[in-house]
Amino acid sequence: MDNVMIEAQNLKKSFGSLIVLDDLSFKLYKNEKLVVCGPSGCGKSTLIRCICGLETVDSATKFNFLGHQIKKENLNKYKGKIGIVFQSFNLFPHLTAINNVTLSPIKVLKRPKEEVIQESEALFEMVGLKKKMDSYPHQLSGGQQQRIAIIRSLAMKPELMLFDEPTSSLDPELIKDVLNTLKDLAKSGMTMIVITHEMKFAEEVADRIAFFFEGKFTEIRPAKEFFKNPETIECKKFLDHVL
Amino acid sequence: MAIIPIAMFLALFVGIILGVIRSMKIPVINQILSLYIITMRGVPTILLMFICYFVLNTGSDPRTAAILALVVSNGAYITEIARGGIEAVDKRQREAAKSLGLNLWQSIYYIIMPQFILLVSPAIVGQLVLLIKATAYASVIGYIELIKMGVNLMQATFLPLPIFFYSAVFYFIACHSLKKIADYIDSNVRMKIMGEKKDY
Repeated sequence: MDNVMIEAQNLKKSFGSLIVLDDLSFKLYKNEKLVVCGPSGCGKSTLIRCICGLETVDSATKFNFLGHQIKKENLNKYKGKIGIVFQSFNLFPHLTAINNVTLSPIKVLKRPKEEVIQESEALFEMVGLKKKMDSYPHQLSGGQQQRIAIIRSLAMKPELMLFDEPTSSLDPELIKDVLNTLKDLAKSGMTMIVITHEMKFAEEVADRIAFFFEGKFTEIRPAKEFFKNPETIECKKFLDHVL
Repeated sequence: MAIIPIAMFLALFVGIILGVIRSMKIPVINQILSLYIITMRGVPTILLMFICYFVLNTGSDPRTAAILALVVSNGAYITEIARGGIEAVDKRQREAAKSLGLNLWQSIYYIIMPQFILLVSPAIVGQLVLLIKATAYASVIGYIELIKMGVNLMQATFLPLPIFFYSAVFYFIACHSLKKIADYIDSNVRMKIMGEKKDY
């Protein structure tokens, strides 16, 4: 039980009459990379938004992060332990890149400024954007903004990183850099859930791949098996379209 | 002339607070505020001056009535400007802030307010310029503001043109200074931070 990071049983959520999470259950293990794929719709995003506390599930038998129940009121206690990277980057436009990254460690974790700046510079170095530290988001390309969004979350030293279609709004030539950053992050041992349509990336990086369909994980299997033997028709159809 | 800064600050204060409340869309309160704003849009300021004067019944001191009228009418417009500004700041900014552990006050102070100020400053400045010019209406309830002073002087000296000319200059300086502040915010801050230029 010690290496379970998220334990979810019977998650249910609807928006009005639309059922988004339909009795969903799964476990996420420490250091695991879980890729979630499936036809477009809000269900996958809603799931990870529930995990990090931006939405609440309607009901659940169990929904724990590291043994503690996930509730909206608990969100503040996480203080960045669950990082989330959005499709639309969501950088703060009125702050420089470095300030975007250092704001939270300084103000929330109350760490000394010099230390945070040093560590952040190392993060910028890691994604190859050291020269862009003093740029404003509007001066940067989508791929650069997304990489900065990633290190902004990393600066809080999270235990889990969630990615909601991180490359879906990028031009094709910019996707590669972001995926490389994700691959490096995966190698470093971070626990990750990535919603994506980039199946080649999934093949390289994922430990397990989950197929999300109509509110449930209809398949959740080790990466190799997933591609070789998809069990359900919907999954086969999806893979045919995407590969 | 002290009513100008007093009315300006009060109108801003009231307007922004009500704007925040409006943006929260609380059921009954929202309707009441809508009614207030629609009313203010339909009532001329000069009429409002009279109403406030007689409602307050302060007799010899029209100053309070004048300030009240200016705050009540301009406050309504500022409410809508503020509400627009709040709603224009992307909801996802607050989500990003939350996910990084910033609490409500930190999100407002570091993330939402700076963007809000940049968004609303042109419109608010425009409204305050209108407010400055509207102070002239206070003359109808007996407040000795600039125009009235001009009229008195004119009756004493029989020199209308230079007096009113100087009054115009005074108003122009007040309004133009405000516009210069807005231009400064715009050209220096907005360009640098948001990469846009606003055309007047």
